[in-house]
Formats: sequence, C-alpha cells, structure tokens
Amino acid sequence: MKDDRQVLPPPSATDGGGDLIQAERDQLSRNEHIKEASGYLRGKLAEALLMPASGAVSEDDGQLVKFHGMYLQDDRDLRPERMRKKLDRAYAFMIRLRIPGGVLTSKQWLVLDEIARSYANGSLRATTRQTFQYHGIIKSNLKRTMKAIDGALLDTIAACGDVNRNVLSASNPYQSKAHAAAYDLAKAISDHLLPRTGAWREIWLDGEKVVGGEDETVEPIYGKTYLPRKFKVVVAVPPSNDVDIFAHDLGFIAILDEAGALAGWNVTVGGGMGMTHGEVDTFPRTADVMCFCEPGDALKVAEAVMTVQRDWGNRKSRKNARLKYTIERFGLDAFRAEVERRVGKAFAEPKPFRFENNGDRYGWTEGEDGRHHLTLFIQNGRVRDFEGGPQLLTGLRRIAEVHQGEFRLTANQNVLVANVPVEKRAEIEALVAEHGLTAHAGTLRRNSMACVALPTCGLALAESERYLPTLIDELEACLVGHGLAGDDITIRMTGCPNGCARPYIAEIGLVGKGPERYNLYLGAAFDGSRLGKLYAEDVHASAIVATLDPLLGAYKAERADGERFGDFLLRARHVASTTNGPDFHERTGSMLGAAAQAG
Amino acid sequence: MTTRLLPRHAPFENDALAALDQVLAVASRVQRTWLSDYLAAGINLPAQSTRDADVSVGEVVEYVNLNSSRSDHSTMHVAVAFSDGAPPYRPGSVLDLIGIDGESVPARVLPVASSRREVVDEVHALMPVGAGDAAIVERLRLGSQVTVRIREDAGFRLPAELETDVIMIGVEAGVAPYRALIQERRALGAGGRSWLFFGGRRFTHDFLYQLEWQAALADGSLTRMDVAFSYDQPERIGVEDHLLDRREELVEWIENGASLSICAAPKSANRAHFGLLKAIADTKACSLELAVDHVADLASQGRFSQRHP
Ligand code: HEM
Ligand code: SF4
Repeated sequence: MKDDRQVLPPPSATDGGGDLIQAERDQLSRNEHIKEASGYLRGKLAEALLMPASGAVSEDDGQLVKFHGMYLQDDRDLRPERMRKKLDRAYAFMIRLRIPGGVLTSKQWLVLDEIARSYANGSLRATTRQTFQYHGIIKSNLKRTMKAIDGALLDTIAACGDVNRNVLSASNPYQSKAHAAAYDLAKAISDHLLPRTGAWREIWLDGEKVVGGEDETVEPIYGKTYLPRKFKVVVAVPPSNDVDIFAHDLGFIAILDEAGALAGWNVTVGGGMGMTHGEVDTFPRTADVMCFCEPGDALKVAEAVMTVQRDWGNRKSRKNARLKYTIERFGLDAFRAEVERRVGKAFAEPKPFRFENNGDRYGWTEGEDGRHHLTLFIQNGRVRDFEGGPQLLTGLRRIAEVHQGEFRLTANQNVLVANVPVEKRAEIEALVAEHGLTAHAGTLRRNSMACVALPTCGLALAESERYLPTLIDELEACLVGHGLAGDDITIRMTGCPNGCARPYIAEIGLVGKGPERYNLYLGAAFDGSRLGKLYAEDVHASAIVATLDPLLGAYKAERADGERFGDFLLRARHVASTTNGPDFHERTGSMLGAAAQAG
Repeated sequence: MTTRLLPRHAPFENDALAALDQVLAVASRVQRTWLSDYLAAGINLPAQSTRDADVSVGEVVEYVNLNSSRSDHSTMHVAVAFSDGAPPYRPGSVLDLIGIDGESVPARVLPVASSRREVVDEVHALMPVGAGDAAIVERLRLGSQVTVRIREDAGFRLPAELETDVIMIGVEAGVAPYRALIQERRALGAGGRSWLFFGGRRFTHDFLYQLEWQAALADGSLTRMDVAFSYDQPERIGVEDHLLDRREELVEWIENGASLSICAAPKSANRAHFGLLKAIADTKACSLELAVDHVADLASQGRFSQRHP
C-alpha cells in the first residue's frame, strides 16, 4: 500500500487545486473545476433564481447548491406524464438544515413546522444525521424558505457538498455531563469548520455582496476548492453508539475517568458507507480507532484530519475521494503521523471503551439532573400527519407550544423531547396520546431505518422509505412465528448503494439494485462496529421474507445466550465476516450454500 | 389552531375588484371610454363575429390535459387537423365547437392557441374544463370528428405589426392567444419584443405549455416572462403583483409603443386590469382616474384589448 505514496503537498497549502501543473489539472474531476470557477460557491445561482419559466438550475449550479444545503430533485412519479403534458420535470428542491447535535428549541421547532406547511410538502424529514430535510420546495420559494430558516437562527450552509457536514453528537442525555461535553465539542467543530464564504447570505438573504479577497481570508481552512468529497464528523458517548461512529470520516469517543468526568477522546477515522454496485474498488468501510487525545486538543485534531484529507484526498475520481480511501492508500500510520505533525504533538494510544448498540432508547429516561427526556419513534423520520395514523406534525407542534425545554433529533431518525421538568410530564404524555405519537410499533420496526429514495431522490434504483414499512409488516409476522417478536434486530434499507441509511452496518441490510430488487447484506454487528456481507444478490422484494425466514428460524433454535442475530450468522457460518472494508466484496454469498456446492 | 411565525409579504391589495369599482365610479371620463363599456357589459365574449365563418369538420389529433394529474384543474389542449387545410384564422381567433362525431353539442367557445404559420393544417385550442363540460369531455377523444367554426373576435385585437412590442397578460387558459401570437411572430421573424405575464394556481401542476415557453425564451421568440402562481405560497400572488413590481419597465415599454392585452376569466382579468392601472398611476405619479384614461386612450388606438378565454 505504502509504495504508491504520492509526494505530499506542502502542509500549509490552503488550496488543494491551486498549485497543480496543467497536466494534473486536466485530470481533476469535473466538480473540482466547478468549485474553482464558482467564486466561492456563487456560480450563476443568483441569475438562475430570476428565470421563472424553469424550476431548475443548471447542471453546474446543481453541484453548487449542495454546498448551500440543497439538492435539485424532481418528482419521479410524475416523470412519465410531464412531457406529454408539455410540462417540464416537476423540479423542486430538497433543503437540509445544519443543526449541530440535532438540538432545537421549541421556538425553532415551530418555525420549522410552519415552513413545512407553507413551502414544503407538509412534512419534516428527520434524517439519519440529526437534522431535518424539506422536500418539494420550488425555486420561487427558496428565498422565502431560507429567510424563514435564518429567522429561526438556523441555516443550511454545508448541509450537503464537499465540506464538513452537520456534526452529530450522542443524543441520549441520560449521562448528562459527558453528554454536554459531547455536544459542546460537536458545536465547536461545526463552528470551526464552517465555510466562511458570504455566498449563502448574499444569494438567499439578499445580503451584501463582498467581492474579491484572498483565499486565505475568504476560506482560511478550505481554500477555493473546498474538500475532495463530503466529510462527516460525529461525537459518541459509550455505551451508546447511536451516532454510528464507525460509518463516519471522523469520530470522537468520550472517555471518562473514574469520577465520570471527561478524560479525553478516542479519535476514529476513515469510516464511510457509499459504494457503487459492481465496482469492487469502492466499498463501505468501518472507521479505525486511531488515537486518544486530550479534551483541549480535539478541535485541533478535527482541523488537522480535515486538512490532511483536503490535501491528500483524491480529486480526480469522486468515487475514491472519501477519507476512507485516502487512509487505505497512505496507510493509517502515515496518516496519523501527518495529523500529529500538523497538530504539533504525538498522541497516546486509544483507551478501552465499549459500545452496546447503535439504536435509541425509546420512551422516558431520566437524566443525572432529574430532568426527563422522551424519545419518540418516528417511522423513517417522516414527521407528518398520517391519515388514519399518527398525527406527528400536529402532535409535535402542540408539544412545542407548551414545551419549555428543547428537542433533539437522533441519528436514528427519531425525535427526543428533552429536558422536561417532572411536573410537565403529564401534559406532554396527554398530547402524545391524543395524537397517537407512540402508536404501536413492533421491535423490528423500532430498529429500522430507510432512506428517502423514491420519488424525490434522483439516485434511487428502488423504493425504500415507501416500501420498508410494508416489508416490516411481513417480517414481523415471520418473527412472531419464530417467537422472536421481542428481539432487537437492526434492519435498514436504502434505494441505492450510496447507503444514506447506513445499511451495511445493520444486521439486515437491504440495498436497492433495480425496481423491486435488493441486495441483502447480513452479519453486521448490533453495535454498528462491523460491516455485513453480501448474502444474496438481486433478491426480488417478494422473496426477501422467504430468504430470511430459515436464518431467523436457525437463530431462534441455535443461538447462544444473548447472542445477536448478526453475530450468530457469522458463528454459524452462514456468512463470512468483513474486517473493515477492503474485504467487503470477498467471500460473498451464503457460506452454507458455498460449502454444500464445494462438497 | 395554527401558529403564524413566518413573515408575510404584503398582499397586492385587499380587494382589487372593489377598488376597481371605486375607481370607475369616480372616473370623470369613464362613461365615454371603451373601457367602461367593456366592463359594464359584464365582460362577455362578443357574441357576434366580424363575419359569419364557415363550418368545417376536422379530426382531433391531440387531446391532452395540460394540467398535471396532481392539479385540481383540467385544461384540455385540443388539436384538430383538417384534411384539406385549416380554415383561415389568426392569433386572437376563437373556435366554436358545435359538433362531435356528427352529433351537435351545446356550442362551446374556445380560444385558439396556435398559428397557422406553424401548425399549417391544424388548429389548436384550449378548453378549460368546468362544471358544465361533462358532456363534451366524455365524448371528445383522440380521433373524434369535430364540427367547428373558427372566427375572429372583434373585441380582441392582437397586433399584426411585427416590429411592435407586445405585452401579453394571460391567466390559465387565457394564455391561449399568446401561444398563437408567439408562434406567428416566430414564423414571421418578428423584430418587436414580447413580454408574457402568465398566472395560474401552482407552478408545478398548472404551468400551461411550460416547455414551449422555455423554448421560446431560449430561441428569443419570447423576450421576457413573468409568472405568478397563486397557491404556491401562503399569500395570494397574481399577475397583478408582477405588473406592479415591474411597473417602471412596463410603462417604458408602453411609452415605447408596446401593445397590451389581457386574457383571463372575469375576476382575474379585473385584478390584472387593476394592476395595470396601478402600475401606470404609480409610475407616472398620477391618479388612478388618469390611468384609466390612459388605458382607454391605448384601447382607442388599438393598442389595448381585453377578453375572457
Ligand atoms: C455517495 C454517496 C451519497 C450520495 C451521492 C448521497 C446523496 C443523497 C441524496 C441525493 C439524498 C437526498 C434524498 C432525498 O431526500 O430525496 C440523500 C439523503 C441523505 N443522505 Fe446521502 N448520499 C450519499 C451517502 C450518504 C451516506 C453514507 C450517509 C450517512 C452516513 C448519508 C446521509 C444522508 C442522509 C442523512 C440523508 C437524508 C435522508 C435520510 O435520512 O434517509 N448519505 N443523500
Ligand atoms: S441511499 Fe441512495 S436512494 Fe437512498 S437517499 Fe441516499 S442516494 Fe438516495
């Protein structure tokens, strides 16, 4: 691995694309040129907003809007009829907020709720990264929406794009002190690594245009081509791995001393989910635990990890640009040495820690300070009023109207009503009951996640959010049959291999391959620390339950005490295990089937 | 119980219609103007044509609802082909649908939406589907033989001069004559500028001929377009808001010799009309009464007309 090490650019380089000779420049991916020519993310967006006959922006600007927290999408359900009706595609924008740690006040909640009803499709979509997304915001409403978001003291800067994204923080505040430290670090990283360009305010809030300026002053950390690819940071507090730390580029694990105070952080690097079907040099990867750092060094470490990736990351192929590939290419040791060099000190080896799960604790919990917290299960994060079902949007709005504490979005697409004084509990419980917010959800469903996919996501190959609930209906019946209805098993589905709902680290992972076809991944760890393995390819939706049924039966019959489904499948040799990523595509398929064939 | 936290844009005027009535009531010369006659007449399509047109029979070759399947409106685009050439018509003409497959139907007046110079043997028309249209909608289909009469609308003048700038204000099916005009001007290589104000309910679902306007803007046959969709945002926005917003340029176009027309259902037409008056009054710092006079003058010069689709 280390032989093909490239010459390292000067560590102080602020502009990854700036000093290249022409031949190298020609090989850069198209997005690198778009970024460089964009004038710090401005492009022609302001002009595009003034073109009222089209609901879209140009292809290049479509890449830039991501840095502003939005994706240009179109309603794929409507595509077939539009041309015939002489209508353009039903374009609208997905807008994603930046909410470090997923913390919102009630007042902010009420504004976000009203935006959902006024400009979006009547729903707030809690994502797998502690934020909300809107869908269906048409171009003419972008500015109003952004102004309203700004009015709530929130923004969407860097919610998508090749930058540091929304920073996650452990959302289960039952260990209040460590939890507060985790949130503070998440917030500090978010602030420190925020792009400084004035483009967002200028374009969306009609802010004053500040032209020119040296790279060093406009974007002191990023430079004008930002990062090679997205960069995702999380902060976890064991024993809960609710932020799915191993799926992220950079992570901090809280290490407490005997007194329960924060001693420092274990630093993880190089996790990531996305891959491309059929391309084995792309793969999901679980992060390495690189070192331990003291509380005062965490911010410096975050900046150094990001700038090494800025300078070393692959800018020629976006498919190999994430930090996980940089670490595979240079090796963890070399990467760590460079981070240490930039921070100016050597770090200790990681301290022991233990995760138990990567899910949320539902219902009420009580914090160290006697405050109460209610975690509500939100199926696929879709906060809206369901006809004949839970009135999530209205119910949560009613709660926000009386709740003095805050809301927290979890990395499992759920919502936590946090810091409820004990005397307010009854009132909130009444609202929960009135709006059916905890309407029955079985154990499997509560451990499920699905990405958005159709109809909005342009990359979806198969259904996800709209299909998983039905599949779970069937799977739950199957689990009841095996007497497993009360067992926690994680299941996640995505519409394509990008893996937005982190399916490769769910015990049952389903990844869209084509209409009604899924790849089935099995054998991941319940705590999110180990990837699954491709068990069956191109499974038709109607065959998923039948494929899983015998495995669930075997699990019930043969499992050891307390053994998790994913661990069992490895021990009983149903699937091979994946170490951390590069071996993800090796020894795939059913091991028993393969053994039988060989024999 | 709904909370209201977002800032609201000031709506155009509380009630444009009431305001218009008021203006007309006090306007000094209003009884003598074309405008007052037009408005007082209850604004119906002039029933008589300039000449009695011949009846022709053609085949429906395209019949499609231009609103999306998610719209609560239907506007049928009807294309009729004639085997021995379409009867003569020009932008602004109307089509009376009087028979389907040999059987007569209650006559339905549809605005023509095409130029013969572009569609040659065909005529296109728009049919907004209303409560009383069930009989027609049920029977009309692709391949139907339809009996039609195509005639000019004496009260509605679109400029034939190619160098004239045109300002076209159309709401929903009222956009039909402007599609015809743009097709015509494109075919003839018109030199004058064109500016279309289009209004509807929702951008995504009710943007009639959206792809064609995009193409026209791209090839230059349409110079400018402003759109207003009333249900896309909490406050009602109509073409009148855009007329007012763009008032400086609008008046500049008019003083430069532009010809204007409004084609919309009665309520929308009156709102648009009021928007025009207010735009003129604000820009010229004159009273609404004087703006009425100004529009009446334009009308008497053949530079302003208004009708319902
Ligand atoms: C190459 C990789 C990826 C691409 C191109 C990509 C693209 C997208 C797009 C277009 C959407 C919007 C879908 C919609 O709302 O209609 C989306 C949603 C989302 N993505 Fe990704 N994504 C990638 C990987 C990931 C990964 C690995 C994660 C998480 C670790 C992630 C997290 C999210 C989240 C949180 C959402 C919001 C919806 C949800 O929670 O399901 N994405 N992504
Ligand atoms: S996983 Fe694929 S289909 Fe699902 S939201 Fe992400 S990009 Fe879209």
